[in-house]
Amino acid sequence: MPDMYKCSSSRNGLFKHIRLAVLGLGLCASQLGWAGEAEAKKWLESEFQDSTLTKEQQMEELKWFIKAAEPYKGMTIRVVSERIDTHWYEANTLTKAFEDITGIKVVHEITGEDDVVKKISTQAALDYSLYDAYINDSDLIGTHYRYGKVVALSDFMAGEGKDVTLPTLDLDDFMGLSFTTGPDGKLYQLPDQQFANLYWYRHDWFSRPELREKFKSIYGYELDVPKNWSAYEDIAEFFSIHIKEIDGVRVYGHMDYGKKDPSLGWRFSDAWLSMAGAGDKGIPNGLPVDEWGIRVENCHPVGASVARGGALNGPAAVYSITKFTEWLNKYAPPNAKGMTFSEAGAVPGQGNIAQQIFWYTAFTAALTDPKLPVTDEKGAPKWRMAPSPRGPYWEDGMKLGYQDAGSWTFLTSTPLERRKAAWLYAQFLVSKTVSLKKTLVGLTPIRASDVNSPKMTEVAHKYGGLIEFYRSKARVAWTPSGTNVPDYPALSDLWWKNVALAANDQLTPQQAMDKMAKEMDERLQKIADSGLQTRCEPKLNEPRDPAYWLAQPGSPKAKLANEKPPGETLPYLQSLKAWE
Amino acid sequence: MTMIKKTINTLAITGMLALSGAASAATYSLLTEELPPYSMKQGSKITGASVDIVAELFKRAGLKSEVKLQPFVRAVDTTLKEANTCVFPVERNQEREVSFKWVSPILVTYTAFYTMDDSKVDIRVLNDVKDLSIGTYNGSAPAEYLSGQGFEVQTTPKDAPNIQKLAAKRIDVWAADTLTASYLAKEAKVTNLKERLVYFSALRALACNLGTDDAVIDKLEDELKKMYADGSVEKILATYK
Repeated sequence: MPDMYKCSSSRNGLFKHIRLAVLGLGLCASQLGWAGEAEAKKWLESEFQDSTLTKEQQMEELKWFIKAAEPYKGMTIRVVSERIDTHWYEANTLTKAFEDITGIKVVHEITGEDDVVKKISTQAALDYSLYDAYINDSDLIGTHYRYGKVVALSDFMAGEGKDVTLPTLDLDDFMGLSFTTGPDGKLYQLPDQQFANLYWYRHDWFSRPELREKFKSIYGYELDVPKNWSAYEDIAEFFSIHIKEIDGVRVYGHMDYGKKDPSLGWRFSDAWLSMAGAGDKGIPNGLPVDEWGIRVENCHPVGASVARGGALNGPAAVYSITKFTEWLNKYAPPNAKGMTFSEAGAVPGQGNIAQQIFWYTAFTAALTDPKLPVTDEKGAPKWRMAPSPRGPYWEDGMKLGYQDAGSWTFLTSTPLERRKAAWLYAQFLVSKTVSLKKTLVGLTPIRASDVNSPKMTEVAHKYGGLIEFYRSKARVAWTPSGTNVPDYPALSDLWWKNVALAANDQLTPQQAMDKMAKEMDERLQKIADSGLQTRCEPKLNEPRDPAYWLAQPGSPKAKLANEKPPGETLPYLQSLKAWE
Repeated sequence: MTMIKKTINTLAITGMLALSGAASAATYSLLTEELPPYSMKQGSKITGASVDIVAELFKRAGLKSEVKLQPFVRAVDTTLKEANTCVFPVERNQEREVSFKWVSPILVTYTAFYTMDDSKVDIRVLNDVKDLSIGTYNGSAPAEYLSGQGFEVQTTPKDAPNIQKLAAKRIDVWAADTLTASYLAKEAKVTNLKERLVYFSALRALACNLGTDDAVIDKLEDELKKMYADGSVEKILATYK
């Protein structure tokens, strides 16, 4: 990295950096000798007061970091992650703590997730070291496992990284390890932050007697948390068409976004089809067919189209896209169709949205600002998050939503000494000394011990159901993309490019999904043809009459005669119990 | 290295796919803004780090091309509208993704904070410049990135005057591309500039008109990978450091 090998102002550039990285550590003498226990004590007192460890245990942990970091003192390492509050806290505060305590400087770059993916893909493809570590979504686990460019952490921790692996790391305490484990049972990535995609609604409006009464008179059941998509649709219609205005403000029963933009892809790749029930049973992703509609046999993807045994253009997938476009057109604010993910994210906080079926808990902190119309004067939320409603194809034992697990990922092309220094930083950020405080700042918990801590009990009421979700067993049914997806960067653009055609009425949902399934199969074949995947590469089934596959048990599932069963709702507290 | 060789072999095979007659006969207009040392006019010749990389790329792909200097906004607009046109170097981001076909990365650039060497400001992380007066130039990547974080930036039409502004203490810190900063400092004969924090890396791409034949894009991608693998990109960059 440019500034890490020198104490002067001149700049060496990428390739010189690579050569230097190979040659040595490039220590700057002026930076040595000031890290240590006094600094550790200072940070414990000023920043890390909240921890599941005692002060003494915290100090012991930090002493281990001081000692393990000795050989790397004076180095500068460079890592990159996406743009969320947790990572800003890491980049602006925790890097300073780590440098003060260990003497290793870290430049923690923040950028868009798409840029993180492009950068890690570039380093993997060209085999030169751009960064020393990436915080990369675990959705890429299937990619990392197959190309052999990512370090298997299980091997690293037991082998060349043993001397820099924290004895108190306590892997069993991490809630998301199943997301970052390959089909070979090895850990490839370590979660740094997690957030889920849940149902969000205005609890205060749902509690108003006049609205409850009117809803029941129209739909015949209570206005509560929708258990299925039928109820979600009824509630959307109720607020957008029947109520229209609350306290003088035009309100809507649904919020979404539909602009042709890469961010539209996340709306679907992040488990939308599985919420409708398109995939198979099995946690974390459904086997043999996952939520991308990709069928896997003996770890080899064999196709996404129904003709090859996949479910991407099957009735459940088409139903899910139909409902997406229908609700966007009928019940969302008129400008939602032209919005991107970022533009749409702020809208529920503006106070005119009654519910949102697809809402990321990463927005929790942003929606507890006391200045917003969705909080009271103390910042207590008027809204709640609850389990996502399920579509008519969903069955018990299937995943029900998405969870994002930004995870530490190390590439084999990063020189070992740099990788070891970066691994120390990664572990510092998830250590028990740091993680509870980090969770309180960013609300993206990774450790069960933090979630179950007395401190979390004390603050749970502020976060509208977030802590309850993470304390429940349900958290295992909200999962990232999994190992069926053999090359996430090479396939993911198909989502936004094709769904946008349906969202903008250029193709019907069936036509759009037929086109996408065909293209997905072609891309799978192209990945296989490249010969670059070292294992579990795609091996496509021969196409056959879709009727054959639709007649088999599980996914792809035949079209239901009735895709709108009666709406069902549950009172808020009861809906939470469904997680127990 | 085995993987690299395998990649190259595979790419060589796919790269042999014949480009259509029209695609290979066309002359591509390659538009870039004047931004020394990436692109600049020396006499009648247009040269620079990114110009040399892209010209070599087209030459290797067997495609005729002509590099033209244009203001960035106009170059982007022209590329959106006109066939057989590309603009470079462009940061590939979500907003632009859908509007072009991409060949990436033609280079990796770094952005840093600079002060004069007697400056007392402490810059360890991005947030440390939050309350400082930051200079950069209109429409630049640093201006876009830092404004996006809610930081106040003072922009000038060109980057060069920021060195004088820094020396005159009219700004506390200058946010600039590292290669450009080093070039401009040499041009201005300023020796007491201090690089304080290299805070962002960016992949810079070639963005082509959406009508560009996919086979042309694939061919360029393949050749670019070969240029990285055989050290050509590094060699070109080294001449501008």
